[in-house]
Amino acid sequence: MAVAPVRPLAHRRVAQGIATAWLFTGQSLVWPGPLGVPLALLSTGLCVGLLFSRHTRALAAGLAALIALTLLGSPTWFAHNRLFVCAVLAMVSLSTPRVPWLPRVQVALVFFMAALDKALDPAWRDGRFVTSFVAELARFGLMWAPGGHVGGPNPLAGWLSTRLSDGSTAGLAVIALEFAIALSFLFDLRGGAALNALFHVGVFTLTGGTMGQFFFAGVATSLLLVKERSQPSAALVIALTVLLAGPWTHRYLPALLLGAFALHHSRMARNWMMKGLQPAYGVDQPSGSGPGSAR
Amino acid sequence: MNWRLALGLTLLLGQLAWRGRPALWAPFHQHAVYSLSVDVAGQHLDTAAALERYHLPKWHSAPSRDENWETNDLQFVKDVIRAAETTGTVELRARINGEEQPAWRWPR
Repeated sequence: MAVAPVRPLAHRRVAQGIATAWLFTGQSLVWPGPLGVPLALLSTGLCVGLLFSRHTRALAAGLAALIALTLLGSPTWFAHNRLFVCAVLAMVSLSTPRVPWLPRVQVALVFFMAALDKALDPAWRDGRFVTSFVAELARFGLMWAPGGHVGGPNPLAGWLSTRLSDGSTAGLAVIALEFAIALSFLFDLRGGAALNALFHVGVFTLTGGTMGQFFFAGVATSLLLVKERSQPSAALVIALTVLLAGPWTHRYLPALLLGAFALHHSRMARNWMMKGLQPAYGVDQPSGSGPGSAR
Repeated sequence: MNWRLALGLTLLLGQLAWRGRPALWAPFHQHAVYSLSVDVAGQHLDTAAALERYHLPKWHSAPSRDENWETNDLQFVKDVIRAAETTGTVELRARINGEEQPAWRWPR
């Protein structure tokens, strides 16, 4: 009896996260040209297939091809965030059990080139980009996100713009973080998933914008650095993505979820919490007389 | 080397030569607040109308200030205008990273 080849579960989960976001942000419905309706139907079918079928590679290849052909054929539909989605799905479809690292290297490449580009740009090194961007963010308001209010007040950016006199430290920190994320993906380093998620959640929280599909695809790719045995269930990936990609989402929600996740998994954080709660039990009592003491 | 690996590596290496600026895949290479002034067929178009004409993203436009906000590279905007505008004249005024730039005109 033939044994089915092992497929990295991470790839399936990443594809499921990307497909869920593609569906719930309406990307599967907006295709240019006279073939808009058939493409929408095909795209929706491919996304639904990715959510529930085991044929991840074939379906990822199909959706990637659909996106690639449309990107090439329609300059007005072209967007870098869609290109990123296309590239990740393409690498998922080309991966094999012997060569499972193509998606990781793809993400590493994007981060590495973005970091290098910033490192070579004087405006990033000396802080002009950061200070002017935060000032413009405070002036313009929230950037686009599902369910968001483009141009709405952004008090976080407003507060930051009054505090940020020299953006060079922040600029260099962003560059360092992007290089670190690139190396994490390239060498499958521990902590990379958290760094990557923190980066994307941080951008979303500050700007109120998802940069198109960048936030959703970016966070989903964190799963490439999670060990097979620790991969979340498909239901959890889909449910969380639906929570973040629908018109009901809020820009502070990803940060709250990430914080809750970190708290749940951090022994140090739990110890701090317990120490903080102890005075509530032991105030004005001699030591050893609190709850749980041997008496 | 099987064909999947070969194709994957080809796509990865090909990205390094994409439009000569692969780094601009990710947003925030630079940010530019710009306004457009287009004269075509006896009509004058402001920024909002120009965005519509060239099918440029309008997510971060501010019609009340006659501005749009590009969060990747203004070169993309210029490339689209060069490709799309064959009869009219365009003037683009921008602040890149907060710094005023000389006006860009098409055709030159």
